[in-house]
Amino acid sequence: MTDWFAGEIAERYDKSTAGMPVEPVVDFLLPFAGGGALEFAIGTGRIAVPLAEHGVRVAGIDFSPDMVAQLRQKTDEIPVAIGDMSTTRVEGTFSLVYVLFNSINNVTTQDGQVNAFANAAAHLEPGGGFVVEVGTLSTQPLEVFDLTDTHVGVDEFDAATQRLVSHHFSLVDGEWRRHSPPFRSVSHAELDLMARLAGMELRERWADWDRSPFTAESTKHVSVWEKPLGRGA
Amino acid sequence: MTDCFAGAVAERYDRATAGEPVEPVVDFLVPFASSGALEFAIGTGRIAVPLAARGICVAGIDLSVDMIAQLRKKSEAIPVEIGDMTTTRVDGPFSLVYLVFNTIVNLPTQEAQAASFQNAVAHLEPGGCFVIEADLLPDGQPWSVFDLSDTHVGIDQYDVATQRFTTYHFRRLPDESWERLSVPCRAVSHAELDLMARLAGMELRERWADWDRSPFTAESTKHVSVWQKT
Repeated sequence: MTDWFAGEIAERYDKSTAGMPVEPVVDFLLPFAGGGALEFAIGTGRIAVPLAEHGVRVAGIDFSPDMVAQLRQKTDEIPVAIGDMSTTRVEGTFSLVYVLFNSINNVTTQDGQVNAFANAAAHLEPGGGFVVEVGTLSTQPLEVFDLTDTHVGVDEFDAATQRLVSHHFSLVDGEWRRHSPPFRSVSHAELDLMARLAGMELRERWADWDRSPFTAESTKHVSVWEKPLGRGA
Repeated sequence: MTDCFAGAVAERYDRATAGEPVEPVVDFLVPFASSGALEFAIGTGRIAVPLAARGICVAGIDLSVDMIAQLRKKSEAIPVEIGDMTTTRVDGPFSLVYLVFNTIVNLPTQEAQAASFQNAVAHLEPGGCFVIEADLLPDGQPWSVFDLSDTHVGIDQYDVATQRFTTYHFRRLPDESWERLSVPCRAVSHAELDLMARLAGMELRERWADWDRSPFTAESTKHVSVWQKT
């Protein structure tokens, strides 16, 4: 596996995502996190650091040492295991496991995504929740998702394999650079079956962190699957 | 469940599907069927009767008594259980279970579609295969017209959030009046079917764009998939 977040991507990650919401995400996650929270693809701690500031015990898994180095500049309190979210284990169980901002798509095979759900369930205590924020299944072979004076984004999608490549052209220090990380687009219906394979069931699905209704017009969803309470619980 | 194939639908079914391929389907299925074949939604026997004519022992399940009455006009030799393909059992096992012509979408929930995989695997001997012919997910348009002729208009109404769709058929009858028929369905992606197979203890063995084993690509509009019981 390639680390698509190494070097300057990690260095400018927080700046490039500065416009993304933080408080609505933290507000949504907090009620689930009473027994601790584990973030898959914790990255620079964009969400984990403010969540920890609310008194939540937070741990993380991330594939990119350079992203975690950015997190380390903010805090030494959050333990992070370097590895992929499909197989990497951390100590303990949690009442919340979460993966945000399409990071489940960074797992580029259906098998890998299935394993990520199994790994989430393995870290959850009974009754715990797995929260995923991700775009709906891509449909167009080519789609421009951003077009500004400093950034152009083009998604290239193969409907047969659901492989998606996001081509980013960014103007950095007066030079255009291309970055083309691979993803696997995944439907919400597929994710429900992955949850079922991992012994979890859908508890909530929303169009966004504000709990607006998920409809045919939604372009993303925030979904919560629950690990059932054990027999006799 | 409602029988959407009752009455006049069953009576004209074979005529309405007369242009659909039969031999390529049978040619594809025969090599899998050496220990017998079970067809889910066997209907009028459009595929089952020619498959049985090749010496294959064929059984079926169908929800529609009227469709089976059409099959019975052609053959008494094919045993059929009336019931839905998610729960109905027949005596087996078989080396092949198959479900053709996009009939999986007539199960209107993900739960029911997943249950049909469980029922398929329960009828298969180890190493046996489940063959499905199905369309891909619609392109996300809320309405699409799939047929428009002087005697028939077909419209799909689709909700991408639930993957539920309703197919509306407007058909001109011999007396020049029109009838409306609506069928509730659920579209399903090939990727979802792979997960349903996995939940049932099967894995993907082959996937093609059509019965002629042409390659499945991003341009394909349907697929023929084979999962094997592990």
